[in-house]
Amino acid sequence: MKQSLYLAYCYLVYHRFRSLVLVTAIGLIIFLPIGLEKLISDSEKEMMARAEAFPLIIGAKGSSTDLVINAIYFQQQEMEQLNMEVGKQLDKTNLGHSIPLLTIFKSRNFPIIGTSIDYFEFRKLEIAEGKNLQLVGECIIGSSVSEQLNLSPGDSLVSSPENYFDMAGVYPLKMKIVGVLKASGSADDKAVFTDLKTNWIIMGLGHGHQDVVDLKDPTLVMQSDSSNVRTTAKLFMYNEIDGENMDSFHFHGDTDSYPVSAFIFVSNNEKSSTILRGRFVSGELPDQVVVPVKVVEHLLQSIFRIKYIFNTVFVLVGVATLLILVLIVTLSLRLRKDEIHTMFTMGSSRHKTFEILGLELLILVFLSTVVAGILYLITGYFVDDFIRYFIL
Amino acid sequence: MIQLKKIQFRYPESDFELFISDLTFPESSKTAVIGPSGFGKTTMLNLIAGILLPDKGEVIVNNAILNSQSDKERRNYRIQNIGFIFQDFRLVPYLSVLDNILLPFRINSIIKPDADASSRAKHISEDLNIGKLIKKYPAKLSHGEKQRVAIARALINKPKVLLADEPTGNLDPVNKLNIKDILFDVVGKYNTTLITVTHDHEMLDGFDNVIDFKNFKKVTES
Repeated sequence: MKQSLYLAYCYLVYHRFRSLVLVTAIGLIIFLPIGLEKLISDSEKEMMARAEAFPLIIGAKGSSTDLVINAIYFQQQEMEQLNMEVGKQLDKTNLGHSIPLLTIFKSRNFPIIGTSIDYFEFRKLEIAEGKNLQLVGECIIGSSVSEQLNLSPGDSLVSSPENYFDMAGVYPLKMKIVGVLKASGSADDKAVFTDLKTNWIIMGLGHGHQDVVDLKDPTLVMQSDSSNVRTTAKLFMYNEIDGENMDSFHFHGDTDSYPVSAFIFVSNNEKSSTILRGRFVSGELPDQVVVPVKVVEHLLQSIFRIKYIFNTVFVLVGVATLLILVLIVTLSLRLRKDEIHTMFTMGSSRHKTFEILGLELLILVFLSTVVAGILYLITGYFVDDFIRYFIL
Repeated sequence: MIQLKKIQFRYPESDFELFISDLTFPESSKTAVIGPSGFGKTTMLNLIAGILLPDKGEVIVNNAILNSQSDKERRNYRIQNIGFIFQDFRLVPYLSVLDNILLPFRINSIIKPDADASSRAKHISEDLNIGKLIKKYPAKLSHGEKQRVAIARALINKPKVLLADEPTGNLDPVNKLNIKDILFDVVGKYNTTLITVTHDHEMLDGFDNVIDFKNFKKVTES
């Protein structure tokens, strides 16, 4: 056996390119169905775990899928906004409490989530480094954001402009990082959290600028009377909130009318949850309420249907590969007829010949399985990307 | 000593028929077998090697009747007693020169590759002037070098009989003579019986016996 193994090894090493192609082809055929199965089952677990953590989501009427994807996976979708008044109405029901989410902006490709301190308690998110949000203009970053951007408390992040060509648009806001969250293995790791007010400032609903009451430079003032001062564009607007300029930041209008993407509703109990949903169904409360688990289950059903199609395709491709493999082996045997005959002439048995050829195949299949195993292990690292790019 | 007695052999579904009434190859002799193609020269080598079995008659090698032995016994007899040299060298392309020489040890477990096998292979390679080529692959060798490797492979199991089927058929005149000299040296040095099939009448000098299959009679005897 040892000698046959050596001869099989020599054959495969001498024809290394052919062996490599075969190992890759067989490895991929083994890997594809099990890899897809792992991706889908891991994605299902991860998505369901996240969905189960969010009892009810309230958002503007429209696609319930978009609402859930936006509110719990932070994959920003174009959707109508609610306002803060809705949150007040929800809290007045005494059926539980609401947590606002504003998910419009990004910073260096990570979503900025405007919310309240309640969110961290609700999600049981702990601070790994630094402290929690205290002031407007501060932010807390998820562990992946910290790792990928190499940021820590004391550094800063600038909100990305919505439109680079909008000269009259809002200024990007430089946010001070005050804390880094412990890794939770969820979408929270890849988000930047701020207070709602900070988000509204990014939106341009609130701002800070140099004092307009005691302006000395006449070119800054367009019109002035006892109650109003109209300034020119020369007036300096703050794009960072710090201890010195914090008092100058203010909001215009009623904050109850300010936008919110969705509310998480944490009901007191199952009964409260049912009552609240009933109120939405009856039209007593406008907008829509969704149970994330049901929406995600529906979403995953479509994925499973696609998986079955893929599995069928993989079986067919596997059969085709197997037939090609049989063809390769047959042609190889024909090409090696002289070699086999020489060995037989010298005193080898048919059994020995089959042993050598069998070991060659066995080594190929073993290496292919190793390749498939490595790919399978690597697949685990791409579950998040798979969810982001192929499911959501 | 090898004896072929009243041999009758016919390939299935073929008109070819070989008759050998009585043929003896003395130990350590050098015999050349000549004759036109299709007269059964290679068939006779295969009968001596125990690869083919006669329909009638006996192949006797060192007092043992070969055609009464089982397949396994004949395979073991071949690997232990016979060295083969072919016209087209029949080297295994994916094995180095050294591994080609050691091939008999790897294809039949009756002979084990002992500690001496490798050094013996190197020694034979030096004898045949291919010592520097042992790490090379057959594709990188000239015809003459390939045939030397084939001879080294035939000698590695210390065979009692060396069967050479047109060993110089693919070689140029200079290499032909070189290979013939090597084969004659080997017979003297390793005390081997050499039976060579050839078409080349210029190569017949120095053989103890020359058997012409055309007339099937000995034309020379020293």
